[in-house]
Amino acid sequence: MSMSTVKLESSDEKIYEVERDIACMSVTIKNMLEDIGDSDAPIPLPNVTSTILEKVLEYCKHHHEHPSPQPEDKKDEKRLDDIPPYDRDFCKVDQPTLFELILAANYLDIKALLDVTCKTVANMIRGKTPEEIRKIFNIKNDFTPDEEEQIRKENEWCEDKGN
Amino acid sequence: MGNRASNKKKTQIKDQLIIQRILQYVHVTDLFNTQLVCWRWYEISTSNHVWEAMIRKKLLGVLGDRSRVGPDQLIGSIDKLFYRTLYRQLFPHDYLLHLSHHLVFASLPLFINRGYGQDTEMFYQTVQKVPGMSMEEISKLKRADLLFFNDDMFENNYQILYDSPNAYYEQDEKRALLNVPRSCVYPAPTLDQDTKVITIVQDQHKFHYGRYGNDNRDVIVDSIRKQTTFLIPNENNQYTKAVVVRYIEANYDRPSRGYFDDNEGGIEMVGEVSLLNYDLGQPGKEKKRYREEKKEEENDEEDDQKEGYGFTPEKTTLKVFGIVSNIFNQDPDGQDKSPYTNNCTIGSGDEETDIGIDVGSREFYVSREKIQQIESFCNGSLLGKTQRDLVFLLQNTEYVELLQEFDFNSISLDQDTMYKLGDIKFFLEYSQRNPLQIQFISFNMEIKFRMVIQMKRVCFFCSDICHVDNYNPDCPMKNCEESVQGRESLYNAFVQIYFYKFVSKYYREMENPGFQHYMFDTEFSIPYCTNTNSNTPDKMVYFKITFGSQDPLPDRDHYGDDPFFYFEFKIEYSMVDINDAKPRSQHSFSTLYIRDQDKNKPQANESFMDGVRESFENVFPNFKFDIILLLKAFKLDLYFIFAFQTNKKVYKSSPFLQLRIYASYKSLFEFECDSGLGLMTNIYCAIDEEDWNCKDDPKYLSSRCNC
Repeated sequence: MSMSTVKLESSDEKIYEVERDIACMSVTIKNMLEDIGDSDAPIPLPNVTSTILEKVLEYCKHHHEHPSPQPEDKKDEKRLDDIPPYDRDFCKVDQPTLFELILAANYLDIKALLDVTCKTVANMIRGKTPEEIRKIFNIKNDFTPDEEEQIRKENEWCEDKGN
Repeated sequence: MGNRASNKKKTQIKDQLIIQRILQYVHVTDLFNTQLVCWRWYEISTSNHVWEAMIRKKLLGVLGDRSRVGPDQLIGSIDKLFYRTLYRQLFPHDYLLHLSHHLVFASLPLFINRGYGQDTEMFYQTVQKVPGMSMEEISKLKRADLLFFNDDMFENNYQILYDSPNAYYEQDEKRALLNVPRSCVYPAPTLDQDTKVITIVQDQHKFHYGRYGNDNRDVIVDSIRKQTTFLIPNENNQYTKAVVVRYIEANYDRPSRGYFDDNEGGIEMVGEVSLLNYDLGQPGKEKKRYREEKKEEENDEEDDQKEGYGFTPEKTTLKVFGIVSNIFNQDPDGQDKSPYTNNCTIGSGDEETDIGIDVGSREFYVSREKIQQIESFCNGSLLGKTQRDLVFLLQNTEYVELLQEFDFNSISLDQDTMYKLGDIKFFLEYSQRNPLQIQFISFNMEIKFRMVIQMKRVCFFCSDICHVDNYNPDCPMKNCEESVQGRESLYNAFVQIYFYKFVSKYYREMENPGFQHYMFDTEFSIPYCTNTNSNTPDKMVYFKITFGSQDPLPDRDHYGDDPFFYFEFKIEYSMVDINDAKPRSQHSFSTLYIRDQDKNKPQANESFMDGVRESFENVFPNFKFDIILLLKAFKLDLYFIFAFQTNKKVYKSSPFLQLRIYASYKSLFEFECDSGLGLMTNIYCAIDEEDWNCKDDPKYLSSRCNC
């Protein structure tokens, strides 16, 4: 294996050879590479399926070849309306895939990808009622009516004058 | 089948950190909806992590120099000034950290790519050319100065730092520096006086800094001397060493779990600052000490600096807690003496959530989440005191790309930058001279930060933080216009408040798991203006607020036979002259509710809030803010609801309307005098040790009485 490429092995045992710089956009992989030294053994990624790994590598490759013109110091802003066009299109996937991308970004420690996927999910929440959010995330409501009413009362504080 | 598979995938996002990260992007009004999704989401979306991010997102947005949030048109110049002030008052350490980036920036590239990294051979070749560097020094550099981002090298580095903490500065100085938030330990770049430098620049603001050439690759992290330096070759192939930044390391220690090991839900923090050893700024008065403990304390440092604080820390039992103290200001002995309990901030020892550092026989844990938060807030530019920080931060930030493009030669000092540097310099100097006051500020900062989070809930900042100064007709929140004046007054009071004590605990008894307690105890002061025609405060009002409750059987029905359920609220005010600390009036208001099936039915107009408010307005008519808003910011009533939410009947019938009020008026001296813990008691004792007769004038016990 060339020193400029590394091999990544997905959870379903597919192996991908990618440029080292691209792979190292993942802090997790970067650390693994440092640990194994010059070994050319594939790096196992047991938490990432081949489908998702391909998507992740596609993302990394694009951003490696097209560095974002956005200043770095604005990347931590928690804004919803600043998703670059490529990232926005990249996240136009079905919901399960999007969630898996979040998990993969988290596992691989790719902050930019994690940010953009989380922003996309946050956009899905925008303006939604609790019931609609539950449907999106397939969450069961475990509040009793009393508890739910209590929380609604707590939130009334932001609507009154503080009385 | 497809649906089942899909649902299975949907439920995969259970990781708290991921949900938290998602919620941090959600708009604040949507955040309230997320609280109603399920208990797990409720817990996360009401957590300090999310709200901290929300607040900081808003605050950072108006600083403008490094980040911006929200539409420009919502942030006018007045707002910017307002928020800049607010930000500085609430987050002095972060504010300074934020601004000190300009300085720290200059040293960062040496950590990233431009440093020697793993090129050991080249490093030593270079180091050996440095004139005047002994082999011993080089030997130490071997272990300490290379930035190898692996654990072995870090442990070596850390061990060196840990084993020789006093090598470079005296103990007192070290102690003082440890009390300074780490954002403030970076002085302006200085040049090594022992070696040549190429250029020293002194601009019109008398600010010195090194200007260096384009080649910055010969850079050394000198953790022995706590310096970052670079080597500059000359035409004779000799090297000149220039010091870019001096830094101070901090020690991480195993954090204390606080008072209670069995923390139950609801504990926010347990901290205490006693004013007993503070001189309240009364010239010529001998300082008195009234607690036995204080005799054991020694502090030779008496500071006459009263600037901005109105008191002089002489000796103190200050116990600082919070973000700053627990991460940055650990006791160097390894004993965290802070009675602080906050699992969100300090490490719990869980390797999943904490950074574990094991050096020799010592183990240290730092909350990974907290550091990430800080790192995120700082846009990744947090420069740690320890190399462990660097290791972590550099592995988790995006500075690599940023700093590769950073041009040292482009450093310019415009007026705005100078303003910031001046602040940093002042803070540095001041904090090193007055570490105890910095502790005091940190203590207040922590409390105020938490209050801001609550104030946001009570419309102090409306739904949009931009609406404090001016009513915004587009504000989606009801009554925004009407509440502007109250918010402004409350803000004015809020920024002037100094807390001396703040205890908030909720816990269950080990022996009786159903037995729940909640206690809240705070002491603070607010300047007060008795003359309605003047804006200059002439009095200082000291408040003592206690709130305690107990429920032995929270799962039973409300009106059972057990008589031990109660909650009690007391608020005491004392007004003293702002200059001579002579008490002018004292007042107390208290309520007591005891569960009793027959006797304690709610009665008309016996509202807890109304009673407190009326009492407050009678005594302090010139306070324009609503005392209830302040109490809400303490999260006091919220705690109460949480603590007793399992008791359906209590909860349903709204405890605030059921309180039976005992509008008792008693002297402050009488109250808790023996305990010696009360702030106001100590104030009076500190004046002249006179006893106080307990006049029964309910509102103005203005005279001092000799017993």
